[in-house]
Amino acid sequence: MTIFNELYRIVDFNVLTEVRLRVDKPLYYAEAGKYKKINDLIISNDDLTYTLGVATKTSLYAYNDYLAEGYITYDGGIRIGITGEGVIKNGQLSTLKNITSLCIRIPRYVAIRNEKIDKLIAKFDNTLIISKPGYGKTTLLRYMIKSLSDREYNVLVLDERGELSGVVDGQLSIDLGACTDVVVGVPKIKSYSSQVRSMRPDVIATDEIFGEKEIDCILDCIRCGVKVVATLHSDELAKVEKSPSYSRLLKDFRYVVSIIGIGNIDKVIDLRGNYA
Amino acid sequence: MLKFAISGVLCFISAYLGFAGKKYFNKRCKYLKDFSEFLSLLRDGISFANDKLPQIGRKFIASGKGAFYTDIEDYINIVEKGNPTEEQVMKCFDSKYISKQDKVLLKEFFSQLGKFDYDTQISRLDMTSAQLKKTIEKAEKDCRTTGNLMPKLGLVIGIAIMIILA
Repeated sequence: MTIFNELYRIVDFNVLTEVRLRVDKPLYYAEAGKYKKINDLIISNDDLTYTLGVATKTSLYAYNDYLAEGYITYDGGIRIGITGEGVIKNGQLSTLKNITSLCIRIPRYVAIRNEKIDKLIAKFDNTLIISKPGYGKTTLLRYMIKSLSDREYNVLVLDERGELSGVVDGQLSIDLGACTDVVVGVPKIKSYSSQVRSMRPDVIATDEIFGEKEIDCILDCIRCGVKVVATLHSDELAKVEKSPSYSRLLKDFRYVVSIIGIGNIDKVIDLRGNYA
Repeated sequence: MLKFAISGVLCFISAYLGFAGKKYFNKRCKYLKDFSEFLSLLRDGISFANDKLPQIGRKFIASGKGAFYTDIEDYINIVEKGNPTEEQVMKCFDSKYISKQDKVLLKEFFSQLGKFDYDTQISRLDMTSAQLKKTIEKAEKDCRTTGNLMPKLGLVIGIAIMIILA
């Protein structure tokens, strides 16, 4: 019997959002963002090996590059974060070995009932969603993608890790709307320039902006007249404003959506007044 | 007359056993060569196409027939269901054509297959290929010598039985 049989017995899978496996420690899981512990279920090395075997279809070698990035993606957009011992080759992180922890995150499409978000979508402009990790940025982004697509915007989703769309063998397992095109598994930096030219999107949606290069790409897209909706890890707008790199985004983004608790949309800030 | 019939039957049985022995050696050779072929396909699949194990396995199964192909099919079926245990792997490769030592080689290789990063997987694959090469050479030699000798021996023994009984 695997740890998952035990988990199936206890957990309501409709609200399960995260499972954390750490060697020699009890299993933690999150239902609707709230963590719970199963004391009787102590995770062993075999449990991690089994989980990785299932997740990689017994083909860990095929995930070498992903391991070096610290995650792998499983069917349905489930993302498995991995920690372990790094293997350095030619001065670069080649892969991970002796894996000690897994963080399994299960994506869900949630229809968000929020007046502020509905107004934002009605008069859509470049939008930045900020919050701490695990508060629901990606869930909100997914909802916005679907809503914009339903309004017949051509939405191009740059889904490097496959967790926004949950693509399995070329099929989207999460409905992102009829006017949505998804680029999966391609490094985002490469996708921006090539896909803007080839797919002619009205809106580009991307999760977790990271680094100067991506900021440059996003600003270039906005300059080209493409709207962008993106998420950024940050607990408050003030910190983004103080960052020399990320504050550049605020000059071109009109709205900032701030999430302050799990699924708790605090406010939608219109920056046009400040940065026009 | 009865003696003659019995000696005829015994001669036939002896010759049959001889030919069956030759067939065993041929099949053993084929089994090991098919394994070697699978390793080559696996290396290409891993190195160039970055294919996953079930894909490589299905491609191989579609390319031929024989005892090893049946065993690989069983193995891929359990891989597709989840992460196979050592016992499950052992059951898949429990062929009558291979020795205990060969079974250990197969069990060790397949129970660890797909559980390592790229570099480790390739080096394990190469190590198994090298080991297998020696096993195939020995199996081919056995096939040429003992395998070819068996039908002749069967016939000679059969004729000898006929003469003695006559």
